Amino acid sequence: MPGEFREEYLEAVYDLTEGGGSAKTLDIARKLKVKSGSVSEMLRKLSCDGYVDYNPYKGAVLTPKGMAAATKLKRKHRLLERFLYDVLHLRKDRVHEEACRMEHSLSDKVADALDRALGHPKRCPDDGKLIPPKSGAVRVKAPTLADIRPGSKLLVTGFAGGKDVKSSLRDIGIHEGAIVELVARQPARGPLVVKAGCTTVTLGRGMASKVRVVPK
Amino acid sequence: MKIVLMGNPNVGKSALFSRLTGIQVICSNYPGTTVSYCSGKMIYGGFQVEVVDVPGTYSLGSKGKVERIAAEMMHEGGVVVNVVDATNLERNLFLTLQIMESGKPIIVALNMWDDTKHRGVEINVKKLEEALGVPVVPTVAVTGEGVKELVDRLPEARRGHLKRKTERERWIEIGEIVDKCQKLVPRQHTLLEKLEDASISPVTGLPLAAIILLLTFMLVVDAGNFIITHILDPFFYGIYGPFVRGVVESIAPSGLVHDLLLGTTHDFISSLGVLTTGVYVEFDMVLPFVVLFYLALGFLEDVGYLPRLATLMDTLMHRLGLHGSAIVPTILGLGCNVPGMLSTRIMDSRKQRFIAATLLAICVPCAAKNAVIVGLLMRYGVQYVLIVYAALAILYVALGLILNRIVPGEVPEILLEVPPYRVPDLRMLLKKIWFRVRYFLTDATPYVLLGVLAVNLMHVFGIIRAVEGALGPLFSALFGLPSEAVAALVVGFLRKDVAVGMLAPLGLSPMQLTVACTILATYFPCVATYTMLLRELGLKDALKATGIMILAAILVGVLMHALLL
Repeated sequence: MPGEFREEYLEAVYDLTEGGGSAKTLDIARKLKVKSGSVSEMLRKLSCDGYVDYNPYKGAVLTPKGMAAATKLKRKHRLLERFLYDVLHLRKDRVHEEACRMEHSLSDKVADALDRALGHPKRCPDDGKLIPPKSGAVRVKAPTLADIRPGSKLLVTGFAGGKDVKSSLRDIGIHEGAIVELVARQPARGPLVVKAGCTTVTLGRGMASKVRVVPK
Repeated sequence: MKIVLMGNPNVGKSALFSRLTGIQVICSNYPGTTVSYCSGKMIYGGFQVEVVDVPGTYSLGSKGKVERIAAEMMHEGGVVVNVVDATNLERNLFLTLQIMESGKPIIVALNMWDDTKHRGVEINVKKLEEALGVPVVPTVAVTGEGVKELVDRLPEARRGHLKRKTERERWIEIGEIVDKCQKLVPRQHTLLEKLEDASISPVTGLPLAAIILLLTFMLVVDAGNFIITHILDPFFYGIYGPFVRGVVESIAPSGLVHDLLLGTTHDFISSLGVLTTGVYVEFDMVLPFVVLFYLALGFLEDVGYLPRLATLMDTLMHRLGLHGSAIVPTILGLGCNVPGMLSTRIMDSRKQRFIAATLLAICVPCAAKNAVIVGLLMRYGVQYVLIVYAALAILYVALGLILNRIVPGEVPEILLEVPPYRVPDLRMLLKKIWFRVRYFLTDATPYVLLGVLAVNLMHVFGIIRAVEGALGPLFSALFGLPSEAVAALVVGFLRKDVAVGMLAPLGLSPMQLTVACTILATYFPCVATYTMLLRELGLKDALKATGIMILAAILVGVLMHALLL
């Protein structure tokens, strides 16, 4: 298992590649607030150890081994958030940072115990993301709004792609943890019509393919 | 003091603005009706206060031009009236919190309050007021309910004591507020909601759209023709004609003044007198269609149909370098190109605005052009009218496909809020129609009368004959039209409806008239529209659009000549 510092990198790559694609050096540097020089150095080390596939021009993707490690970390992080929020009653907006600090020292055993004690929670409290199960070493690519048949209710679990898309969609009521309903799909790669609460929104196929969902 | 009205798109800011200032502005049931800000005055406590209607925005970030403008206008204001859609509290509160963080005094108008009941939304206003720490007043801007209380409580507007937050923190806070103040009551889907879904799914929506558009077209054309033949024509031929003739002839029995005012023949269309053709074309041939078109448009707008049409048309429009929202400038343009041109601002990128404005100017005939087309061709059969519209539609698509290829720039995807269907408020609807018709009358009438006068003078001084001589052979060769038709096309630069008066007496065959009408519709919008085009696109792009326009008109004329004549 890599050290705390390397774990942060793995998580960063995990977050940045959640919707497919690879994590660019610059994006990782921005996310972790470090110099891009140190990022490429660390990525090379992680690549040597078999955690990521790294190409200086394209960026990094997680190997199955890296994915397993990152998923485990995400599980710990989100379980801790649940614990801090449900049991210790910390404010929702505080739990993320606290969990960030604690996740690295949490052993797998304690994580499993926490999971049992909390009654196997499904989602983290602050942004409604799924908590990976114990065995869930490998993540399946989550379906997006663009892959779903009309008429079904869905839970938004996350976004891939640019900040602008995310914030435009959020403005209009499609955010992580929101329950949306796909009303219609226009033919020939046309737009989708989505209901979120009392709002109905038409959005292009490209944008819809950035919204990850699970059936509700 | 300056009051700024801020809120998400389509929450009723313009309706409230009209209520507060008494100034009539266009309100419709779709986002983006207000593309530029309006300001007006209201009397408050004996003082004149400025009220500004800011275009709707979801947040005060820096994403788009609208957001930045909204933020700037907020900072200029003294008090913010934050208009909130009560049926959409959660999403609307994001902007509310942002405004509160800015430190501006704010009062919240919880608008569309009447809608909450049948949408199954229960909001505890007292609790919401406590949670936000600023006054909250339920209102129904369309009917005026609650507006007086809002005005009375304006002095209570307070600064929200909030520190700056991240987006995530804001949403968490909103979640907590909404949990405390709002209850959603489960209920049956209403008939309107079923209609909402049916009109946006492709399987039912596309046939429905075809039916709605066809019905609208038939209603406008048939009712227009009915009014003309049974009411207006008898009036003009039986009462108005003899009357003006009597008056003018008693003053100037013959000579230049007589000819300028009454023209040289006795026919209303072709005499080309200011008081005969000028008045007749404007008020008999065009006005009924304008009124009926705006009636139909206003109804579709206020019900909330246009965003659904935009959704259904998006697939096609995206191929033309636009997206579904471009349906709004196109349909507005069918009434008058000027507001259509203005509403091209709802398009996201510069490329889209250029394409939308160019296609609008070339391929979308305004009410005056439509009246010309129907007025000249309907008597020979509906098929000729249809040929003109088919040619224009094909041109729209073909030009769009080409422009999408050659114009550099981005084609962003559609992201459009689709409002619920609402039963239109009759008084608001009538006011809107009157507002638009009045604009048509005050803006178009002088051009028509001046146009007729100019044509007459050009006749008298032989200019028309000279133009016909110079360009006639070329036009005949290209379009198969007699050289006399050239003059009509030249006059069409000023007003299309005047050109009718010149085409009518030439004895063209129906097909020749069809070709002339199509060219007349494409080659140049009116002067007012052209001025707008210049303003919206800038000189360079407007010149490009003009080049495309001339090329397209010639090409269409030549093609139709080859295929039809």
